[in-house]
Amino acid sequence: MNTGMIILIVYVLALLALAFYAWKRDKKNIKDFATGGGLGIFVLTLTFSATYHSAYAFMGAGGFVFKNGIGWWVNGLWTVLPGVLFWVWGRRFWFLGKKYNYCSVADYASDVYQSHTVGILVTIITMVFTIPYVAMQAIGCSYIFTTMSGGTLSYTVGALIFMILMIILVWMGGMKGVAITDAAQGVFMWIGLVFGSLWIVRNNFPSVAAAFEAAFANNPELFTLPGPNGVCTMQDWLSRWIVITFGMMMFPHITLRFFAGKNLRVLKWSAVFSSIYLTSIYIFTPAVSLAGTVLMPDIAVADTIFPELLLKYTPIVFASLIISGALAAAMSTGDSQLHAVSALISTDVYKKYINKNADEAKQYKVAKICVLIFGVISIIFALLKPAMLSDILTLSNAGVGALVPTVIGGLYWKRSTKAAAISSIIAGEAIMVLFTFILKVSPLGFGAGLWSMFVSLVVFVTVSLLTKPSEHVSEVVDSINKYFAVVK
Amino acid sequence: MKKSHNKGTLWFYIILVVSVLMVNPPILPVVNDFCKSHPLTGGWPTLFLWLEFWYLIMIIDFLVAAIRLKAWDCSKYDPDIKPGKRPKLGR
Repeated sequence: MNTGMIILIVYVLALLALAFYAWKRDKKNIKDFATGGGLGIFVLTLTFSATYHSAYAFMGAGGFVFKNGIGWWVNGLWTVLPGVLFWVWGRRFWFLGKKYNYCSVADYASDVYQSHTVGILVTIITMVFTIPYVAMQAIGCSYIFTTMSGGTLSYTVGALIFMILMIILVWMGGMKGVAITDAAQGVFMWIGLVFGSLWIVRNNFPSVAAAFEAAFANNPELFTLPGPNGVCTMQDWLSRWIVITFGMMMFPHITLRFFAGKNLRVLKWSAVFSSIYLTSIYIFTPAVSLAGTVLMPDIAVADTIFPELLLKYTPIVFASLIISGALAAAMSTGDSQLHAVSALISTDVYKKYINKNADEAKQYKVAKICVLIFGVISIIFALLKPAMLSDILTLSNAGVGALVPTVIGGLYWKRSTKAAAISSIIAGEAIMVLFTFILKVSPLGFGAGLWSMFVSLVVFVTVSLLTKPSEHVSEVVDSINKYFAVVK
Repeated sequence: MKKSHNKGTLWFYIILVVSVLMVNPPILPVVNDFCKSHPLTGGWPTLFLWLEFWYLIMIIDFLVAAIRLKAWDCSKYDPDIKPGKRPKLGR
C-alpha cells in the first residue's frame, strides 16, 4: 500500500470517528435525524457549502475547464446566488418550519396546497433525480481511489468503498452527524482546492499569469466563448446557470438545511458566508485546469485532471492530503443526499401513507433502512458510468427544475393553486423527459432543463389564474408576510 | 415596514439584477467579442476577470445588505412563533 492510500485511510477513519461522536449524541428521533435540531452559523455554513459543492468541484469543474475553457466560469453565478436564495427563500421556509412544523419541502408542498398528490410528486421527483446525483459522487470517489492506488483499485471497488462509507456515515450520524462531518470536510475542501491548485501552478510556472499565458499560447480558443468544442454558447450559458441555480435549491439535501438553522441570524450569516465560500473556492481552478492543457494535454479522463496533476507535480503526502479534500467534497454531498432522501421517504411517504401511527423512533428506523436501499440503487447507477460529471449535474438539476414554480409560488403568491401545482410539475417533467430522453433535442440551443422550467412556470401561472384560489395558500403567504413585516 | 427599509431592499435587488445582467446576454457577447481581441489582462483571462468582478459586486452587495438592511435585522423579528393549524389534507 502506498503513502497516498494510507493518508486516505487515516482521513476516512477520522471522519468515521466524528460520525461516531455524533451518533453518541444522537437523540434517535426522526425530527433530529432530519433537521439536526438547530445548527449554528459555522456548522450550517459549512454543511450547506460542502453539500452544495460535490465531486464536481474537484473533478467536474477542472474537467470542464480543461475541455471547454473559461466559459466554465458561468459556474460563478450558481455559487454566488445560492447563498442569496438560501437567505431570501430559506428564511421563509425556516419560519414555516417553526410555525407549521414542516421538516421537508414535500411536507410543506402537500400542506400548503392541501394535496397528497403534490406532496407525492415532489417526493418522487426529488428522489428520482437525487439518485444520479449521489451516483456522481460515487463516480468521483472511484476516480480518486483508482488514481491514488495507481490503478490497483478498480473503478468498481472504488465505487463500492464510497457507498459503504456513505451508508456508515449517515447510519451513524443522522443530520447532526452529517452536518458535523460536512463542517470538517468543508474546511478540508477549501484548503485543498485553493492551495492545491496554487501549488501545482507555482511548481511549474513563475506565476499564475505565466500559466495562463502558456495555456493561451497552446490553445487561444480556451479563453473565449464558446470554447474549442463550441459547447459554451450563449444558450448553454443561460441554460446552465438558471437551471442549476434554481434547480439545486429544490434538492432535499439543500432544502433540509432551510429548516436546520438555530435561528434567523444563523440562517442569514450562513447564507452570506456560503456565497463567499462557494465562490472563493474556485479562485485558482481556471489557472490549474488550463495549465493542465499544457502539462498533461493527453490525459484520458478529463475529470481526473486535478488529482493527476497533484500526484505528478506535488509531493505525495501533500497530494494525498489535498485529494482527501476531493474525497471530502464527494462524501459530504453523497452522505447529505442519502440522508435527505431517506428522511424524505420516512416522513413524507412512510408516515403519511404506510403507517400513520408510526412514532418517531419507528420513522427513524425506516429512514435508516432507506439509506441502505438508496445507497445500493445509486451505486448500480454509478457502475454504469453514464456521462461526464458536469453533464450528470446538469441532468439532475434539470429534473428538479420543474418544481421551482410550485415550491416558490406557495411562498409568495396567494393565487397559487393545487391544480396549477400538479399541472405545472407534470408539464415540466414531460418536457424534460421528451427533450432529453425521447427526442434528444435542445430547441433553439437551450437545454431541456430551461425549457422544462419555462413551461412549468407558464402552466403554473395560467392554471392558477384560471382556478379558484385556496384559502390555506393565502393564510400561509399572509403569515409569512406578516411575520417579516413586523418591526418592533 | 418603514419606507427606508423598502428603499434599502430595493437597492440590494437593483445592484444584484444589474450584476446578473452584466454577466449574461446581451452584454456577455459584447464582452466576449472584446475578449477575442484582448484575451489576457495582466496575464489573466479578460473574460474571467470581467465575470469575477461582477460576482464580487454581488457578494459585496449581499454582505452590505446583511449588515445594513433594517428589514433583514433578525433582532426585529418576534422569536416566539405561534404554531399554526394544519388543515386535514385532501387528495
